[in-house]
Amino acid sequence: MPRIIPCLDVRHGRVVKGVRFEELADSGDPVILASQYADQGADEIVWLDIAATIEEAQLSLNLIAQARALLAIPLTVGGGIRSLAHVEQLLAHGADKVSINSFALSHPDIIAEIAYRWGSQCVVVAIDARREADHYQVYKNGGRLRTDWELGEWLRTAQDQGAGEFLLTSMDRDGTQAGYDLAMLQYAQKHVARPIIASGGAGSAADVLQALKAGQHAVLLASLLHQGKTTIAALKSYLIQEGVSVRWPV
Amino acid sequence: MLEVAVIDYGNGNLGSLLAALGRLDVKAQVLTRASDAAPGADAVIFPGVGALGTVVQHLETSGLRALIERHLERQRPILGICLGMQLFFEEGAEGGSGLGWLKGSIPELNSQVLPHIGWNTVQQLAPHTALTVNIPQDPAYYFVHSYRILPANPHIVAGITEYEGEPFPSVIVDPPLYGVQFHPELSGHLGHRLLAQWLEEVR
Repeated sequence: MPRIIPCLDVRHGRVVKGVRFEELADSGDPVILASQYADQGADEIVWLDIAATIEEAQLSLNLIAQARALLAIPLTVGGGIRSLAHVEQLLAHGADKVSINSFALSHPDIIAEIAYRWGSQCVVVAIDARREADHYQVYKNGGRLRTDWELGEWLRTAQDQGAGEFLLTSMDRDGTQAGYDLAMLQYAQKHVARPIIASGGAGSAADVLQALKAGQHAVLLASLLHQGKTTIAALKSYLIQEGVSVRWPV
Repeated sequence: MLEVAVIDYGNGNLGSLLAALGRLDVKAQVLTRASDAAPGADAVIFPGVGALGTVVQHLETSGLRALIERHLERQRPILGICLGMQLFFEEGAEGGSGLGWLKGSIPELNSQVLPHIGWNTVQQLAPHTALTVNIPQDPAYYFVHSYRILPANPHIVAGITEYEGEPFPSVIVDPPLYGVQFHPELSGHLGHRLLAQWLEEVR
């Protein structure tokens, strides 16, 4: 069954969501939102939080623990992970998986180290990429810095290091609500034998339907939900009506 | 009050299981080595994330294997979750071995895309066990695994799941051993109910 996964971008303890990685807007308490999404039938939660200071890091750990106590679905936490000690803290506060992005691009070994200690299923490698002429290029630091990695090359490297899953965001589509970047997702699937979560561009339930009918197995949702355009329950009942088998929470 | 012990064999990634037990008002004791054990837990939960690899060796050096086997000899129940259930069996793929309490092997799934991650349904073959009773038909649970069990005795299989055309056992009942391939602690209301029923049955 395909997975419908709300993403919470958290800053200073609040959920925000950028449009094309800019213009951050506040849309709520992450613990309350995560719990509401789970009650409505979210299949997992992704929580991305970059803390700049020790106080912020402690605040986000406390919030993750509060969310964990309420959530009976998988919780993936990411944002600014640079060490095994940080991963250990996130898992100890109730994350089931961690999502790693920028640091892994310059230190691919950290993927192998996390996979060795906690298993591949624990490592989600998040990738931000955009089209450049005839190929897809990987960016880091929230899309601000271009890297030397071509998308297919980085996917294969990360898989070889032990990535259990990928979260692939199209920078060209993120925040535009113009639909998922199916061409990029299909390109990525040719390079790796791991589940890929599609991210960036969902503007309507029809966009989600189109991605699932095109063979995607997991989709990430942010602004579509946070801005109240639809709910998980409304989205899932629409998908079921359209003949897609998704989990209905009972 | 029911005393539940949860085996921690080194991954330390038990947050969601302990949270799920917390929602059931069960205060579980986490055992990382044999000397942590209070005498006589009523039930043991054997969780599992990660690889078969070095787990058996770790269970032996920490004394946990002997502890759990004494629990089994007293016919006290054990619930294996995911890798925890796989460890009940004998031979793993790529030379890894399980604990050999049940006859059977632990081959890799056939699918090109692994791990099998996400929600999938269980076809319940034996509807009257603690792991199936009162659960609706074809319930969906959360799975994350690349290996499956192949039990020698088909009669212990109480539920079957299919991934990419390959059916595999997802629930086994062979008291005092109980096992699920999926993660009840991550499976919403149904997972909660399954854990509650199991704890009630083994009480």
